[in-house]
Amino acid sequence: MSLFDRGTYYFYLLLLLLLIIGSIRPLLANSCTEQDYCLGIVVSDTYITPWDIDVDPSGHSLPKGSGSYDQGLAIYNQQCIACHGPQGKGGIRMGEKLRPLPQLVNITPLPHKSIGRYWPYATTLFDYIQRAMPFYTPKSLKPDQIYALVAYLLIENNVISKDVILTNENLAEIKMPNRNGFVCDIRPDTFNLACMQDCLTPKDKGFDLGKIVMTDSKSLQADCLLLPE
Amino acid sequence: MIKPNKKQSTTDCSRRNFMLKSSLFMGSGAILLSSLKQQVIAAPKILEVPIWSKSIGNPVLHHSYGLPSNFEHQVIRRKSNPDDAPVEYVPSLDQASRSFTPLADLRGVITPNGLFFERYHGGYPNIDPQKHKLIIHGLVKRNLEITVERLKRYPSINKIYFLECSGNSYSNWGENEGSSVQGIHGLVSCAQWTGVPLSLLFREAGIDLDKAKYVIAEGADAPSMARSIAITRALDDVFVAYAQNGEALRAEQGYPLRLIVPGCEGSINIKWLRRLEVTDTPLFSRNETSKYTDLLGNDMARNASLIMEAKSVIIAPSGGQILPEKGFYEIRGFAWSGRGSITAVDVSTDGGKNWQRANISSDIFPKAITEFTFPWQFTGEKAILISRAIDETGYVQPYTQQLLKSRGHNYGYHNNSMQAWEIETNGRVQNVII
Repeated sequence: MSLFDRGTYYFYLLLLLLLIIGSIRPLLANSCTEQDYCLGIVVSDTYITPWDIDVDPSGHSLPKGSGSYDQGLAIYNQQCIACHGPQGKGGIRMGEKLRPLPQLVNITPLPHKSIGRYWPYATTLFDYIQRAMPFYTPKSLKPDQIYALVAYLLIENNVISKDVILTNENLAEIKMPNRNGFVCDIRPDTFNLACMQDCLTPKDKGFDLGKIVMTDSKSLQADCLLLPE
Repeated sequence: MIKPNKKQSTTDCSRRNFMLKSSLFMGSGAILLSSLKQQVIAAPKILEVPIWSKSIGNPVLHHSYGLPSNFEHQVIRRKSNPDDAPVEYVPSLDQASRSFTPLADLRGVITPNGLFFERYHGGYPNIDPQKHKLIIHGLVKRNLEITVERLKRYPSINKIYFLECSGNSYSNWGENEGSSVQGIHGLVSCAQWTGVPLSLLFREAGIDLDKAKYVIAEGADAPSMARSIAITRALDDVFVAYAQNGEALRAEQGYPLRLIVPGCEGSINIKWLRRLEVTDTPLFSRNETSKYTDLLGNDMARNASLIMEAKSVIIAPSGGQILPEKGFYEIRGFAWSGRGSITAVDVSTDGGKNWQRANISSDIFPKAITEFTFPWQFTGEKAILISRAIDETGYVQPYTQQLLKSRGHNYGYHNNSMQAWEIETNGRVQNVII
């Protein structure tokens, strides 16, 4: 005697199997033997590509492409000039007392932090334009357009000659004038004792202003940004 | 230095009552103008029963998300006022700008979420958490994609940490051009953050500890703000936060995910965090080369000067306020250090000649704001109030002139020098150089 005929029996068996497979499917899809909590989904390098936009000084992750001064000038005058001004000498002001928008070439006496004077790596220009510019439409430029803009800006900054065609092959080779202009942080750079009574202040004669503590080749602070040797 | 406002105070009692009433109307941000004679305000003959005691109040859910009393409407974040700031200090575009926390109105160590200072490089995005993901890749055994919902299921931590913009107090660098504690020092705030340690997430991804030297953290905002962090620091106390003071991060603070790098300059605490790439080389992004590096007097520049050193500031009385009368005031202020805990705060009321230890009036958490108080009588004599923080490393907060000597005038970020407030005989409080 059976509660079910054969057909019904197989139907319920199939349903049970489907339920079991359904319940373990997420585990099968995402092997967790190596993750303690099994909450991350393992994904491929290709999957990440659209977000993986950083370009470090090695230039390894530069996309294929090329651009010239003339091409860069045309794009600059269309996309950049409104904020950065003609030839990067810009500094457009939105108000009399407000800070002008960044200039991109050296036009004022030191100190300034413009590209040719201050930036240690040319790859930074590609990286920044690719991720952040133009200000109101970031990530809208194609690689060739970015190479052209980088070429234009490096030439306006007198870093490379006007006939250079910039590509993914030669961008990382460019030696920026200020490449060796950075040192590690060596703070603390003041060494006061907590005087409590009859203390001198900077207004008093004999107050110890301390010493100039700018560089120290022995110090290698853990946070320092250094290229691999 | 700003010139004292010559506006006359008054000794007239009816005027005094009028000022009191109008200041109540305007809320706590308003300041009483009055004579300095300590006197009792002429009281009505008998107490009135106010209208709110004779009428029914608002029902529950009058505001489904609660708001401060409308009498506190002056306690808000503010932008720099171009008329009260160094030349070219105020950015041209509000999407690449900052707003300052009203420090003088805060109590205790936690900054309310709506008053937490803002700093963006391309506006703040409105991110749908269902569509947001955190990617971990690079020198790891397996690339991981973690949804916001799943990130919240990992074992979590709650930590109180300050955040300070490295450009905070810049207007006091050499020239004391700001006037209020909000406008000069308001790019610091403190919150309890909830999240998951990077060390845990990197273990899940199978980090290659032999090769890993840096992690590049990147945001999902328009300019995809990116910074490199040394792996030793990343594995120490850095974490991915999703909550702030008991609720989800505010959009201004990185909703749905941000990095917290305790004790380090604000800009490396990447907001709207979308990607962590473990590498053997720093990125040298624009915001760790062209910006957020410290140009020294010898034309060299420091990179990765991340730690916000020990600092304190008196928030009451502070610049722009006017003491309404002679008498007792509790001097109150904040102290913090990116190197650990505050161990002591000293206060001078005579411009730095003599110092006394302040009371620590809050719990002390490492790399968090600590509150201090100091009892003080305003006698109507000129006084110069200064506070000085000391942290667990023994470091003593310096004078601005000492930092200028050590670093040169081109610097400007990481100004942790002492703030002096001069109390004029008329009770007016001013920002002065010592």
